[in-house]
Amino acid sequence: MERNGLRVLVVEDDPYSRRLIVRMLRNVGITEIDEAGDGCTAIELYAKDWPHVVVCDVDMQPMGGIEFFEILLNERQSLGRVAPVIFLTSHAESDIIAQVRRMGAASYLLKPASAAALAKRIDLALASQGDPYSGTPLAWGTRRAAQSNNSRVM
Amino acid sequence: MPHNLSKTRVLVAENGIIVGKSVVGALDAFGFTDIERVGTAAEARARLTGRRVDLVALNADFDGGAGADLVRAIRNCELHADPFPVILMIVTRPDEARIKAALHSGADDIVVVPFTRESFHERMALYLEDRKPFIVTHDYIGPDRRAAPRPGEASAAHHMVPNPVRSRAVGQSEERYAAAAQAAHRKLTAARTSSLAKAVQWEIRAIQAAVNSSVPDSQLALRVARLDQFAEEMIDCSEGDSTQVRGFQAALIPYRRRPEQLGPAEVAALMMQAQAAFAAP
Repeated sequence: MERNGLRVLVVEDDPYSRRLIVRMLRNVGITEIDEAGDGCTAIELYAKDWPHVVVCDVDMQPMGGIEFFEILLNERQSLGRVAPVIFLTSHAESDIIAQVRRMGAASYLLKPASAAALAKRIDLALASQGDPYSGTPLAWGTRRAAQSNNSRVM
Repeated sequence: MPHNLSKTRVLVAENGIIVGKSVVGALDAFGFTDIERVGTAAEARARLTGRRVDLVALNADFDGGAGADLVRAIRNCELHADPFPVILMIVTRPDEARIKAALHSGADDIVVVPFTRESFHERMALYLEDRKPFIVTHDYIGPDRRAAPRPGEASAAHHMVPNPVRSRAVGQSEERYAAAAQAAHRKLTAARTSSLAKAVQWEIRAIQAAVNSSVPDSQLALRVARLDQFAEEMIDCSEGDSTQVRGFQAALIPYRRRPEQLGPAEVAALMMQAQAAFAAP
C-alpha cells in the first residue's frame, strides 16, 4: 500500500521504544512522523499537524493513552471524525484490551510488534475508517497529489 | 512597515480542546502573544462587552447558533465596544447550512478546521494589510463577500471600516483608531437606518397590496411581525430620540394578534406614521 504523505503521531514515553517505532514506520514508507512522550504533548501535536493515524502507548505520565483517546473521542462530536488510534503496548491485561476495544480503538498490538504487523494495522485502520480529513486540504490524497505535482500545499 | 503583533488583543472562543489548541497554536506561531481563550459564547460575550478586542476567532457551532448571534451583536454595536474586530468563524463541519449561517453573521472569514498552518498564516498576513469593505442591509452588517452583484441587483454601497489588527500592528494610537472606528460606525448606522426604512416601506406596500386584493394573504401576520422587528432594530441602532418609532410599534400591537383588521385606511395610516418615524435624521 502507498503510504507516502501519510502523517502518523507516535505517543510513547520510553525514548528507546519511540525510536524503534519511528524506525519501523520509516521502514514501511511513512516519513511524516510526530513524536510525543505523553498524552498532553500528543494533543498539542495532533492539533498542529492533524495525523491520519495515531500509534499510542497506554501507560504514560502525566496523561496516559486512554485519557488521550477519551479526549479525542470527545472531539469527534465537533470534528465529526478523528484519526484512528492503534494501541501499541506491553499491557496484556484483558480488561485494558477490552476497555480500549469498547471505546473504539482501531487496533491493539502487543510489544514487541514487527514493522509488517504495525503497517498492516495502519492499512486496515485507514481502509475501514477512511481518511479522517477527507474533503479538506489536509486529506491524505490531496497531500499526495500536491507532492507528486511538486506544487505548494494549501 | 514592520509589524508588531504583541499589542494585538486576540480572543479565541472555542470549546473543543484540540480545535482550540489548533487555533491558538496557529495564532501564537504567527506572532500574536496577547491571546485569551474562553470556552463558551457567554464567556466570549462577557470578554467582548465594553472592551476593545482586535481579532476574534469564534466557534460557529456554539450552543445552536450563539456564535452567529454574537457576531451580529458585535457588528450591531450591542456590546458597547468596537464593532470592527476582525472575526474568524471556526467551522469544524463545513456543510452548506453552517457555512451560510457563518457567512451571513458578518464574520470576516471562515476557518475550516482542520487547516494547515501555512494557509492560516497566509490569511492572517492578508489581514495585516487589508480587509474587505463592509456593506449594510436591514439584516446584515459585515464584509462584502460577493465578487459581483447578482444579476438584476444593484450592488450595495461599500463602506471602508478600520482594521484593528493592522492598526495595532503598525502602532497606530488608540485615539486615532477610536476616531476612525467612531466615524465608520456613524456611517454604517446611517446606512442601516436608511436600509431599515426601505424595508419597512416595502413591507407596508406588500400589506397594502394584500389588503386591496381579494385574495387573502397568509403572510399578513408575518409581515406585521417583521414590521415590529424592524422597529425594534431601529430603536436599537438609533442614538437619538426613538419616540416616533415606538409610537409606530405601538400602532402595530392590535394587528399583531388580528392582522385581518387591517383595511386600506389603517394601512395608509401606518404608512404615514412609518414615513415620519423612519425618516432620515
